[in-house]
Amino acid sequence: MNDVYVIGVGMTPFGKHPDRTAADLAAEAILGALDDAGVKAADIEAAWVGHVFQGMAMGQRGLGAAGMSGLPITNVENACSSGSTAIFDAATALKAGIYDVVLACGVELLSTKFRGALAPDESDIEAQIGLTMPAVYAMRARRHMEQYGTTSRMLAAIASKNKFNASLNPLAQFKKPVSVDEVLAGRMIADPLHLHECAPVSDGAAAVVLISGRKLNQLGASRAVRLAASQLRSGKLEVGLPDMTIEDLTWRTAEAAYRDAGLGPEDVGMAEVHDCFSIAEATRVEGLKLYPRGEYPARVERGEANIDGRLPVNMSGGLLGKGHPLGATGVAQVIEIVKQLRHEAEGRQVEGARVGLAHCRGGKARGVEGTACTVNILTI
Amino acid sequence: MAEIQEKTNGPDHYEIDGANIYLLGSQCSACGAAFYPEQTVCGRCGHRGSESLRLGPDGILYTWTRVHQSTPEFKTPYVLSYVDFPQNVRVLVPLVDNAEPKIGMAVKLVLAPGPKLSHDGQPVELVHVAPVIAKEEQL
Repeated sequence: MNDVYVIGVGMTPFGKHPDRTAADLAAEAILGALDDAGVKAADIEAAWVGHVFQGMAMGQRGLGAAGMSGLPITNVENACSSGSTAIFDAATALKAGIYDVVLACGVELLSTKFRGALAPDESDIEAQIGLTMPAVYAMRARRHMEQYGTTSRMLAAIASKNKFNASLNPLAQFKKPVSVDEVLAGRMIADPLHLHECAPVSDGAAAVVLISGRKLNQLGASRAVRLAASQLRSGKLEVGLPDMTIEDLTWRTAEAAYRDAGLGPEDVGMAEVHDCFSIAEATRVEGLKLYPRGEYPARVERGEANIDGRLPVNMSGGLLGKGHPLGATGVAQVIEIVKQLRHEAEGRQVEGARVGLAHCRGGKARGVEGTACTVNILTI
Repeated sequence: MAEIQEKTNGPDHYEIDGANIYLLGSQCSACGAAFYPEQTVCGRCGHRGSESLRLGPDGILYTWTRVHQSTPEFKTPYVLSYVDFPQNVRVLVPLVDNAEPKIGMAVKLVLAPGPKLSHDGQPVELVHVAPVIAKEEQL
């Protein structure tokens, strides 16, 4: 199999862009990634575009706005992992030797379409009796509290850390730090999760240019970051009474990615993890085996996951701080790791890390533990 | 013998047998894996074919949340819970919102209005769980 490298990244500011179109946002990210890579639109052999709620042919609209047409374009919907699944698809094609220069993009314009709490698809029997995404995670949080002694204050510390990191990221939706007390004073969305513990409604786009190892040898791009692993798994139909605090899906995806990269959790120096809710960061980080099971929230309270901590998590601000334009999220996570490994994360740079991991997982369908999960591992 | 009423065309699939309410799931005829609602192709072994399986009427509260923000078809706040049934199936069920729920408490299936609202804004009757009051507390 061929090696895969990221040579260009681009993204819009995340936030509310009700006066723009999704195509316009995608084009901004795509053109930014092309410029950053130093390649021309005509060099792109194929493109994958992830989104969730943007309707038919989002990819063609977005690439068209960037002046690109005629190439193979695939639209990808995989819930909150749509963008990172676009990266997985693009990387898989490069590994197979089908292409040498490809584009993966993610985009979402939600603020004009949507308010309130996100719920599973309306045909889902659980959605019909009132299940919302915050409720799913609130019930996991309550189990984590019951089994490991996790407190609301510890979960609030996760949200506070990510809002602080976001204040250091000029492209983040939230500009101001939020203290633990302010998180706890916020209104309850689904008990025990408060407003600041839930990812916001966001608009934005992100794109990366990926190339094969043989193309890299021709171009000699000095800022290339190796995509050492890109894996995708889906949740298994649940049988029996599984422990809701254990993310089997996250571990199965991570295990495959660690194997591909020839690395283990102990080698990871920083991570962007799918913190759609405060508790989600905990169960995911524990599922990735980056921190021991049940201990992560307490360790966040002690500062271990801060940018200057033992193993930083969500340096970009994560979904809670940077924002969560669903389709764009998985691509933006990879972009943060690329910027960190290039030493271009000004104001929030992690020192000395050579391996970064991006984990994306989201969505809900009745009967399965989770819908789609990706783990991308990047190295220099 | 009391008449058995079955309802499987709404958001919850259930059967009323005398004083008891049961959720209607299924059990794989090959490996015995149980599911709710009915799943004709087994999610564990892939066997095509299952038998109906009654869940309940008693269960144990696995976890719960009080939902304060939802979609417009639901009246907030309301309590949702995951309930473990002795038939080895966990099901999402609204909890009758009149007491502080506690993980591990015994619950029983009941019919109650809400949280779902009909098109004209009236609470829809759904299968809920309610805490089982211990005998001594009733005295």
